[in-house]
Amino acid sequence: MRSRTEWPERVLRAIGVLALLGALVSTARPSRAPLRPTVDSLRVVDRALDARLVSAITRGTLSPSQLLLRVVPDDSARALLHAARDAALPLGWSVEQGITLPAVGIAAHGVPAPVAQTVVRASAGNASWLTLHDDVGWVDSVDAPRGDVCWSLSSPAGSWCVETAATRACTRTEVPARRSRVRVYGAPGWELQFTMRALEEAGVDVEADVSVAPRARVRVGARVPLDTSAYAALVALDSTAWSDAAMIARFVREGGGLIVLADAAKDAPRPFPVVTPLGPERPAVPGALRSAVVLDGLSLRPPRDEPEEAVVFERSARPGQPAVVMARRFGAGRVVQTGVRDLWLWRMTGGDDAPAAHRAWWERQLIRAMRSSGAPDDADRWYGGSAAPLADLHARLGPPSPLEPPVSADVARPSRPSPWWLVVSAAALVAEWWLRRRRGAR
Amino acid sequence: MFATAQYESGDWESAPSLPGNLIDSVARYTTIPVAPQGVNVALASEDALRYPLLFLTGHLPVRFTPAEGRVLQRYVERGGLLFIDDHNHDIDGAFHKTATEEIARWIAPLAPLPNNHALYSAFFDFPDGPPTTSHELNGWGDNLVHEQLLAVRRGDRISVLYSNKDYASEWNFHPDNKRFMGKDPTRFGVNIVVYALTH
Repeated sequence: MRSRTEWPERVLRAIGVLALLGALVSTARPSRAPLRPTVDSLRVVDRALDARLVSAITRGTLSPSQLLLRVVPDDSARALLHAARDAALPLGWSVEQGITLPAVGIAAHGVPAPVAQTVVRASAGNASWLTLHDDVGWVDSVDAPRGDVCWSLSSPAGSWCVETAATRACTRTEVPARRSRVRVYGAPGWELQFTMRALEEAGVDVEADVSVAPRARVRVGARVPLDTSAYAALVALDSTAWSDAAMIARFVREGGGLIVLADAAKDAPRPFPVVTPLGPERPAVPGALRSAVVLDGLSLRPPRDEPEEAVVFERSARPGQPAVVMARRFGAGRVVQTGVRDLWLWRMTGGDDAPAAHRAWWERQLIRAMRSSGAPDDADRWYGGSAAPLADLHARLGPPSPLEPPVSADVARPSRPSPWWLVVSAAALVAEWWLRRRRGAR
Repeated sequence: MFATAQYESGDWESAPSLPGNLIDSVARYTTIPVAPQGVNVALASEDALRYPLLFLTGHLPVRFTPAEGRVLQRYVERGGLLFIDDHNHDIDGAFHKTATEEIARWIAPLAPLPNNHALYSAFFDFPDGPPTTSHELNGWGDNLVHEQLLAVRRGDRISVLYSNKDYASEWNFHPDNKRFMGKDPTRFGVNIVVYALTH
């Protein structure tokens, strides 16, 4: 039977337990404080962020802000906004009402020497007027109702930007090495003449040493030692090339290019195992010089077979579709073999665009024969997102995300327990313990 | 293949022995392969484009038809070389006046060709420019020795070469007769052929 002196202890124990329960209950009850920040300011954003916004982001003191975009911010602005988002700064973004940001994109690639051109393609969604700029300023403007434009520019490299009223997209092409000296081997004749002419018109420094009599030679251009640092490629029009066969083989092994025409291929010497023996001659198709299959208008001696490692660039439309242009590696270099004969006839008797097409064909073969540019590529210093800034904006910040309006009073969050409950509970339990010790109980 | 241009006006066939003589010289002095016979090709025909070196001569007035003019334009634009020689060797003759007018009308005005042009050293050396002809030295025609040839050039290359020196008369003989000559007068013709093939 319990003593009557124990009842104060029971009361204090009950108070302590009830106070502890009270603390737990208050913890479970939601808070009345708002969950998310309200928008303190609307900020209109231009290509570059204004100094106050930059300062607030970098110091981490940004008050809740909603950005209204009229244009796509530039690279550094997008990067800073991305950083702000990752730092959980209270930032939302949207496009100002009535404005549509066009999805402008740009791509460019350089065509190496001797052509040394840049092809720039741009797409601008529904924005019709596009202007093109390079490193030094405005280049062209064009009304592109379908939004897609392609420029062929004589400048070999540089940075390129297309711009609409609201977006500026930029990219760049590397500087291709300009090694444009070519040596042409051939007997005096129209093929030699018009090959040299096409290459010269393409901006190539042509060099030839043509034998016209036992003790008479015609020199075109300045002859320098045959080396890959001096020559981009060699053109063997006929068997006159093979008097230098050993030298040419060394040049190609070291990385130079060689273009071999049928009249040279048929007499190719041992140093050139990659020159494929020729099959029977296919006669020219009458009228084809002015058709879509131009080269079928010329007689063709295709390679007898197509080795597995060979790459066929062009084929004839004749039965069996024999290879017209084929290339193989030889050491570090490339040998481009073509069986087309009398190419000069294309230029003289072809359609209206024949001179330009003949020149372009020779340019293509030269590019195929040349090794790729060894120029340093500074692409690693270039930010790829610049080529499609709107896509980059979405990738960095996510879709447009307005900040929430002020949260209503009944939306609450969990809160910490009130300290008073704990104080009362602790005091009651300490008092209860003291009374028990006083009467000698444990 | 040496080709002579046929045109509707004038006497295009006035030097029938010249092609054979020039072919003989090219074969005699060089290793350039040549067809043994020349061809005559109508200037109004697209076939003219198959002969990137064309020879044109005559005594009479020259007026190209529209078809001839258009082919001539294409011929020059694509890289052909037209060699015209005035068979009259007259600065004020009918052929000279009309031929130069026609070239200016369809292609471009002719201009004097410097006597140090590559043409004069393409095979044989002619340091003083175009060689004189016996007709000039004998005072026939306009009694002038024409110091320079005329040309239309595209870039550095000759597209139209024009002569008042009457090479058509000077070279219009059978090749066998070269053995009676101290110096072969057709040597300059070899320069024209070598220049056309290599420059």
